[in-house]
Amino acid sequence: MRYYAALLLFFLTVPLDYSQTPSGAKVGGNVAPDGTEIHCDLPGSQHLQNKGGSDGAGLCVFTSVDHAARWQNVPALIGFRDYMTRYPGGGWPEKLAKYITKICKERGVPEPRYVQIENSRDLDILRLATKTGRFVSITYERSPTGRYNGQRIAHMVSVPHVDDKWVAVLDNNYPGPDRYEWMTPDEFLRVCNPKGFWAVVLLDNPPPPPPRN
Amino acid sequence: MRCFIAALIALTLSGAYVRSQWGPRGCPPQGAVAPVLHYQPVQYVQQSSRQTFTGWSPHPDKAGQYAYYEADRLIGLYCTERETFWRWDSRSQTWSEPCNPPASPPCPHRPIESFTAQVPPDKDFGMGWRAGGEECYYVNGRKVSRRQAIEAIEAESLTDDSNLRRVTVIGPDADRKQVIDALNTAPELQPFKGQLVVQSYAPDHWAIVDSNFKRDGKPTVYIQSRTGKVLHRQDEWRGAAKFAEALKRSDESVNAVRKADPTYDSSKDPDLNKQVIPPIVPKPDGGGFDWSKIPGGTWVMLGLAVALVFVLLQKGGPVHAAR
Repeated sequence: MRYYAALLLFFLTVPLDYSQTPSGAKVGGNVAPDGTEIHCDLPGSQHLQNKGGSDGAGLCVFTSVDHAARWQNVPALIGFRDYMTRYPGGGWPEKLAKYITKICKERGVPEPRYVQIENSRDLDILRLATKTGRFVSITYERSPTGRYNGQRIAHMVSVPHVDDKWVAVLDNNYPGPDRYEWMTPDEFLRVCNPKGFWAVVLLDNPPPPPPRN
Repeated sequence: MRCFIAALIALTLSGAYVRSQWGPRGCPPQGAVAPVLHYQPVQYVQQSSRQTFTGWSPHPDKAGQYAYYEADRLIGLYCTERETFWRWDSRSQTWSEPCNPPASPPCPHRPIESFTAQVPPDKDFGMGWRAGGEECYYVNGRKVSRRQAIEAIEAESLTDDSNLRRVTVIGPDADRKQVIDALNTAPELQPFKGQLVVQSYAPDHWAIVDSNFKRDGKPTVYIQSRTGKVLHRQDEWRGAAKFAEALKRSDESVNAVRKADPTYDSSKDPDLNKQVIPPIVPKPDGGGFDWSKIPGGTWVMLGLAVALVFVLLQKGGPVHAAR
C-alpha cells in the first residue's frame, strides 16, 4: 500500500504538461555560448525598456523598432517609443506604417525604407537581415529561459543575431547588454509564433566598422 | 490497488495538470456568443449581456466583406477584393473615403477565427497582431513578393562579396550637411552613386565614440573598405572635386587587391602533397669540415673580398710599370 501511495505522490508532483519542451536556451551577453559574436552589438546605453501608451497598453512594437533605429542610425525613428506614449498602445502592421508616416511628417524627414513580413516561418530572410547588420523586430509568444513564468505572451522583441546555430533575442522588458536570450533556431521558431511571425526590418545600413590601418 | 487507480482517474478528469492546446487558461469559456452582424447602423443593437466584441466580423451575405467593431461599436467596413477600408460616421450616417483600417485586415485567404476561438494570451505587452493567413511581404506598405523583399534587403547591403566603400562623415550638423549635400548633388560625385554607403554622425554618437574614430574635424570624413580598413581620411571639407579624386584613388586601392598579377605562373605553385622531402641522413662521425653549413651570404662576401684583392693587385702592377 505504501508503494502505491508513493506512486500516487509521484504523479501528483510531476506535471503532465507537454506544451513546453526542455529548453537549452541561456541568458547571456553579446557572445553566444559557443563564443560566436553577436551580429548587431547594440551597446547597453542604447537599450530601452518597454513603456505604455496613453491608454496603458504596451508599446513593445515601437520600442523594438526604436532599437533598430538606434543601431542603424535612422534619426526619423530614434525616440519612436517615447513619441508613441501620447497615443494608445498596441501595434500591428498598418498602425506601425501609419505612425512611421506620421512621425516622419512631423519631423520633416523622408520615410525610411523598411520591410514587413507576416505569417512567415522563414528564418532565411532573418539570417540575411542580421548578417547584413540589420536589427530585426519580431513577434514573441513565449520565453524559453523561463521569463514570464512560462506563460504565453503577446509581445514584440528585437533579434540582433540569426545564424545556422544561434538566435539572440533582446527583450525590451528585460533590456541590458548581459540579458540576451540565446537559443537554437528551432527553439526560436517554437517561441516566436508557432503559426508564423510578424517581423519588421529597417533597410538602413549598420554602423561603420571600427577604423583600422 | 483499487484506491490508487480511482485516485489516478479522478486526478486525470480534474484536469489540474493537463494543459489544453488553447493555453494555460484552458478552453474558451462556455456561453460565449458570436457578435450580432449588422451593417445598417440604425439597426445595430448592442447586446450588453455579453462581453463586448472588438475585431473583424464577416458579413453574413457578402463574401469578402468584413466589419470592424470596437467594444460592439461599428467602426468601418473592409472589402478584401478591393483591399479598401471605409470608416462609418455614426453622426452623419455616412461612409468615409477609403482610409487605413484600425487593425490588420483579413487577407482573402486568411481564415477569420470566430470570437469564441480568440483566446487572449496571458500577458499582452502591446501586440495587436495575431497570426493567421497567407505569408505576406511589404516594402513601405506596398505588397511585394518574397523575392522582392529579399532584393530590398540585399540592395546596398555590405555583403561578403560587395565592393562598396563606406563614407562616414563626423562632425557638427552644419559641417556634415555640406558634405551630404555634395554627395547627393555635386556633378563630380554622381559617378560614385551606388558605390558608396554613406552615414553621418555627430561627434558624440556612440558608434563613433566606442570605435575610436577621429572626431574633431570640421568635419572628419572617412573612406573605408567593407572590412574597416581606412582608405582615406580628411579633417575638413575640401570640395567635391578633391573628394572625387580621393574616391577614385581609393577605388584603385581597393581594386588593387583583386587585380591579377601579370607575372603569376601557376607552374610554380607548390603542391605540398607531391613534394618529396629527402630524408635527413646523419653524417658519420669523424668527417671533415661541413662546407654546406657556411651561409650563402658568407660566400658572397668572400667572393667580393677576392675580387677586391685582385683589383688592388692589378692597380699595383701598372704603377710599378710607370716607374
